[in-house]
Amino acid sequence: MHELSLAQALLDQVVRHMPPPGGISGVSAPGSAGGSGSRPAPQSHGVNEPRASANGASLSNDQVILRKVVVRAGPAQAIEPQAMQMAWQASIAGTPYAQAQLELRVEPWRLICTSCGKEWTSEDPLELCTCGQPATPKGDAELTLLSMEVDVPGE
Amino acid sequence: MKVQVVESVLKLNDEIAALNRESLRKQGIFCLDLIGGPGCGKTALLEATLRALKGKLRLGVLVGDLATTRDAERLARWTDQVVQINTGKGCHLDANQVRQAMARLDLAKLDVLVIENVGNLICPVGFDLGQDVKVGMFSVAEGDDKPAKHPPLVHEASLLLLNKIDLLPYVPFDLQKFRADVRTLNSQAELLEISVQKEQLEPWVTWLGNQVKREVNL
Ligand SMILES: Nc1nc2c(ncn2[C@@H]2O[C@H](COP(=O)(O)OP(=O)(O)O)[C@@H](O)[C@H]2O)c(=O)[nH]1
Ligand SMILES: [Mg+2]
Ligand SMILES: [Zn+2]
Ligand SMILES: [Zn+2]
Repeated sequence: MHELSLAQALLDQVVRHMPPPGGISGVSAPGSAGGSGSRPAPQSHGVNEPRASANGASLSNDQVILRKVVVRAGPAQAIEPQAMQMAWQASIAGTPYAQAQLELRVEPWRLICTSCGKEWTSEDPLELCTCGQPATPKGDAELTLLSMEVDVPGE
Repeated sequence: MKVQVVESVLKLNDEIAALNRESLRKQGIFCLDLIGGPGCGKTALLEATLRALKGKLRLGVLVGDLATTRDAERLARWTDQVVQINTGKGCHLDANQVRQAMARLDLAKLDVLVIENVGNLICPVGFDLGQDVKVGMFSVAEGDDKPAKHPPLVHEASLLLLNKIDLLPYVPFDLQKFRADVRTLNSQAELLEISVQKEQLEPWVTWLGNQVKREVNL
């Protein structure tokens, strides 16, 4: 389950980037004390492991609420969108981020025909050109957290 | 409120991988991440390579498996520079596991470090371990459609190996189709066809020698 470790790495990262309640006057962001930032292992695979960073944050009424997380995946990252959504749900369940939606933008391959030079995009890197010849697939293996949507109390 | 981030989800992994790469560079060690399905012959290849290059090239191995130290035991017959990494439920190695295992090697004794990843054609592709190159390994027994079914590995690898070519007369395997798919997905990477069983390893050993800029003969 590749996606579970990715989802957990993503959640840790999101927690690190949460803005403090009340903007700059807030002392600490939820989850910023201890937890993820100083955790030596970048990802953990245990399904039932308690998630210290996310669970450790306390919920209060002036809590910053995470609405949405936007992630881009390159076509060579081999991520399965449905599995990633399930892994995200499993990772946020029981945490203060349980209502956060994951928007996963999986980039298609960019194909350039080896014969006529035509360029197009496809999910299938072995798709033939309309001229019948194979194309060169281009794409990266990056997985990038692009942005987060949050509700900050008092804004 | 929108918070712009634009940061790799694997940032922590990538940072540790960079540390690994720096440690290896300092010692002048060439490092490869060997990725292939279970049973394609990764450990067998490393055993044969260690045996063939004993006294010619100093190889160390980190070997990842879900469980057991069997592979490390097989390899320990040929080198004392071998560390088993058991990942439990983990389907791939990460940079931190490699960092910890590297600490148990005597890097000053090595020219080459091979990381045998957990048998899996999918997960290991996206994880930087600090290697110089990723090597994708397939075998004739798995069928000729594996590159087409696993484009990310083929696309990201710097070298591709097809093992068990001794089985070509016995199993249905369209070698032309396999070669064409590999070439389409990755026109840069070399494809070496080998048989560990029959000790047909020349192209691989020559390639390895070229990477460390040293002539190595069998
Ligand atoms: N016929 C044949 N069998 C091989 C060859 N290389 C490895 N094997 C066999 O394939 C099986 C799996 O090999 P192993 O090294 O454990 O695979 P790993 O899981 O990728 O490490 C073993 O039974 C090997 O003897 C080969 O070139 N030809
Ligand atoms: Mg093995
Ligand atoms: Zn994995
Ligand atoms: Zn064309």
